[in-house]
Amino acid sequence: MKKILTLIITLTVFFSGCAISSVEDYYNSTEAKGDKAVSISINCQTAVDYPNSKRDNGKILGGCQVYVDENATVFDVLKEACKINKIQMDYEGSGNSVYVKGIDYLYEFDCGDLSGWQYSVNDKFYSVGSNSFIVQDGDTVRWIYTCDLGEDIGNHFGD
Amino acid sequence: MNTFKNFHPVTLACYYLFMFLISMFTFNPVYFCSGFIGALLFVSLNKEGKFSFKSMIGYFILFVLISITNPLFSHNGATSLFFINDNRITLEALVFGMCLGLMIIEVLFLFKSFNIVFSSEKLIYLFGKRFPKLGLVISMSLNFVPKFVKSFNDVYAQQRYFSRGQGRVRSYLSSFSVVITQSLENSITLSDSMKARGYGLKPRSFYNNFKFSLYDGCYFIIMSVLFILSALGILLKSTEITFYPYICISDFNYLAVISYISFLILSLLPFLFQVKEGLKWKYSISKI
Repeated sequence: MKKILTLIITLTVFFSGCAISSVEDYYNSTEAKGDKAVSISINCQTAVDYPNSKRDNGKILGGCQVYVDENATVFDVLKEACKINKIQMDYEGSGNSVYVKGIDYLYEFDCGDLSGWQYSVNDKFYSVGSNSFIVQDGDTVRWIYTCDLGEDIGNHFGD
Repeated sequence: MNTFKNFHPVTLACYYLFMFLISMFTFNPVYFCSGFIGALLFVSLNKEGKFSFKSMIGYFILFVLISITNPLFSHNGATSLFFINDNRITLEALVFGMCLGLMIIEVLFLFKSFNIVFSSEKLIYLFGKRFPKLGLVISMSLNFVPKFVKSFNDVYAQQRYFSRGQGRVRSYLSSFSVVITQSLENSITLSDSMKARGYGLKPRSFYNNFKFSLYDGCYFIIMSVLFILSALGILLKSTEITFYPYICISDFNYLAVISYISFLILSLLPFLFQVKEGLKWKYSISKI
């Protein structure tokens, strides 16, 4: 009896921390949006050019306008854009240390050991995590896939 | 009665090597299923396996836990089932987790049947001449846990009896320290005793006289053919399966079917042999 009670309590605590929603609910849920307009594009041309690649379209998302609130970061913009356009996105970590593992089923290390996702704001690469960079109104965010630690997309190491 | 255990150690070692190799280099659930069924049937046929449906519940819980854990951490996959805290739970990750669980349980059961078949005598015979130390380490480490558990239970029962006022944790701790001391002492005695009996020396002979008979040769050839056929399906990628982003099984081809069937026969081989010999035994008794 005691064991069952403990089990029930544990399960309740576990599930009360989770917000479970169906697929339609997730995509249809509208949150309070801010008034900062940021345009975002997601590109993986390097993965298309990679040898033995199964991808034939490098443009995952081309020029989409997203409205976000005051303290929104590059990561929030990506999350919002992926939700609107129903693009798969996978990340790990929380708070300031969020790492984007994959977008649209294209993951880190899929094209060699040096591959992964990087972002640029107004065509400039920054050396901070995507959830630490706060975007301004009118910014252009680009998420680009690299196969060579940024060398092939113009993010030279040490610049 | 002739059993699968009575084969020559080399034949048996090759059988388990083949099984483990195939299980290592594929991620196809068909292979895992047939390997699991074969090992399960063989274990349930032998008394040493201590097989019971109660023990299967534990394995089933392990399988379910692994299956559930994978989709909680991997969000890859095209078919979303639902969202937990904005993280998608996908069908592909769930199926991948199920395959993973199946693989782990299959390998656990393979080791169970390996433990039934391989006595320490056979292991020492296999490795004793060329790698005496390796053989000893393998045989001792495989023996360690069951031996430890058995002596722990003995000591614990004793402790509980003699010191009834003591708390449970305290008697656990004291019996644990007793068993550790005992096993350390045993290992010293064992090494002295083995040295005195000339372990690792070239002219040392064995109590059992293992002979590689014609029967062994036949079974070895059958096993090798089955192994090569099932390995071909993996090498030529006709049984390949990819999970992300879509579950993609390679198109129907005859090589895959041949590979599946040959691996099923390979994994059922110990069971079939045991059943065949058992029937033979029964039949010969009824004639008398």
